[in-house]
Amino acid sequence: MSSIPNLSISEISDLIFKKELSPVDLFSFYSDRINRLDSKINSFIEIFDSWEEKAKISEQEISKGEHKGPLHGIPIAVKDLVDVKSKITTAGSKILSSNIAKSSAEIVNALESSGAIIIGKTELVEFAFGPHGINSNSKQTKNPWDLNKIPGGSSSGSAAAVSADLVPIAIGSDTGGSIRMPASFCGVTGFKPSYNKLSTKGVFPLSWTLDTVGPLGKNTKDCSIFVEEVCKNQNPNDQDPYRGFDTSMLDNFDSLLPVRLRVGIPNDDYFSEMDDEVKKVFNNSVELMKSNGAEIINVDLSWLSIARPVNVVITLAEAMSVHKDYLISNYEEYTYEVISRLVSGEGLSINDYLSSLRVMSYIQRKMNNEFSNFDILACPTTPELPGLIEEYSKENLSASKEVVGGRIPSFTSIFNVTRQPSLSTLAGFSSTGMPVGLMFTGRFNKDFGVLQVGNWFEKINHGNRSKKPTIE
Amino acid sequence: MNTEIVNLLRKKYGLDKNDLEIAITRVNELEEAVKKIKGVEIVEDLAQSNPLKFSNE
Repeated sequence: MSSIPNLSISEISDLIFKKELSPVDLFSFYSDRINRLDSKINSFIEIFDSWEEKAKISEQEISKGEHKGPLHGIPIAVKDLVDVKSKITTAGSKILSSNIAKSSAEIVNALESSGAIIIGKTELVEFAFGPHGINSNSKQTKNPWDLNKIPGGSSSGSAAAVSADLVPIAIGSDTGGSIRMPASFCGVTGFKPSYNKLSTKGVFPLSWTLDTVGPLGKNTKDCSIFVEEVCKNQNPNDQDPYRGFDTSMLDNFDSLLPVRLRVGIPNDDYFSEMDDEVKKVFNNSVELMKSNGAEIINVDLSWLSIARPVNVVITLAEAMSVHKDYLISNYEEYTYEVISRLVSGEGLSINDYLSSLRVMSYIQRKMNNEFSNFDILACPTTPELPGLIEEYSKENLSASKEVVGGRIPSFTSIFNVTRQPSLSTLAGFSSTGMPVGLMFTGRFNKDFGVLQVGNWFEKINHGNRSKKPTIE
Repeated sequence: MNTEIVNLLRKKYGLDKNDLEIAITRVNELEEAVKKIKGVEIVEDLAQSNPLKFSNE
């Protein structure tokens, strides 16, 4: 048997089913790693005491033949803006430091129904409002590939914990790229489902028009299992019904190549503006897909650059509304990196907000038409590599005349506006050894197709996937 | 830059010098964003572009 970190969730699940590995073994392995290593990267806020007991119960259920499926006994970490009954949801803020959840979020209930064990809460940017993974309230989550670098955000702890093999999979949320950006920076796979595919009930909102929840895992297949199990078990009244998901069909896609896959590559000025290191890895990925049978189609999507400002305006307008009471009574308790950004929304009018919604609708229709020319869109997840944590100090930020790290969500934020399913997976590494992500985006509500392409790409890119961060 | 907004931020939230400078950068970014959005020409029928009804829904 390979060591646990080298196993996918489906492989772990097979071993559990055959009783060659147990949920208690997983508890022992992962809790030992968390105890030894999390102080180096600060990915967790809390580990629940109930984990070991739940692992024992899972083991008993499985030994009695009551196996619930591929997530039974699998540990899952939760970004700390997702409610878990009787636990504190801080959303990364001092303001909510005693906010005990009365019930669990729908996604947590669905995962528990599938037999998964919710083991604890992960760090995040305060109120999920920022792409860098900086939270001056916290001990500061670090990138496992370089402890001086930012992990990306806002699902910083979830990405870092998966990257460092402290947990096999974790929940994140994504309003402008908050699953995909940290997935890219930390070298893991992150999937933002279509809007409303997975319920956000019980998740602290940033922007109700753009918010999504989804997994960060070691690979696409693990993310697919997660989505399938949530779709099966979540309350169908809250969101789109389960449709089109069967992870066992994920590999069948390979037999369709090379005749079917048309990969759209944006080659306009907006999408071409990226660091040379990112461009080099991206070009290598395109060549790899081409040599494995994909048809590469260059497309001009320069018009799509308008989606980024639309995302910014809608997010700020809705965040101002969510935070209006806290901003009156608790504004001194916000972190500098969030308060200074949040209050800039004071300058927005109702007309600005409604204009943005109207343009959003227009972008969605236009994007749908673009997809008649290709099956999947591929671009780098972020146009730049993760910077140093120290660049984001209050003094350094205020000394800059530009928005530091403002380019990071340039590509990801577009696909919250279009509401399309979008996945970031490891493409390769920079010359300094930092991971670089590749993002695949598909038609709205065709989530399974995106996961199929991600799974295919991970297979043909296996040479880059054997590297691990060394934090021990 | 919208000095009205900057004054409002200073008075309403009592931001210190560093926070205010970061906020000003953000306000400028937001003003640029709004300008770009208002510059979009949507030639389709307005009735088909009800902002409260999304095409994906």
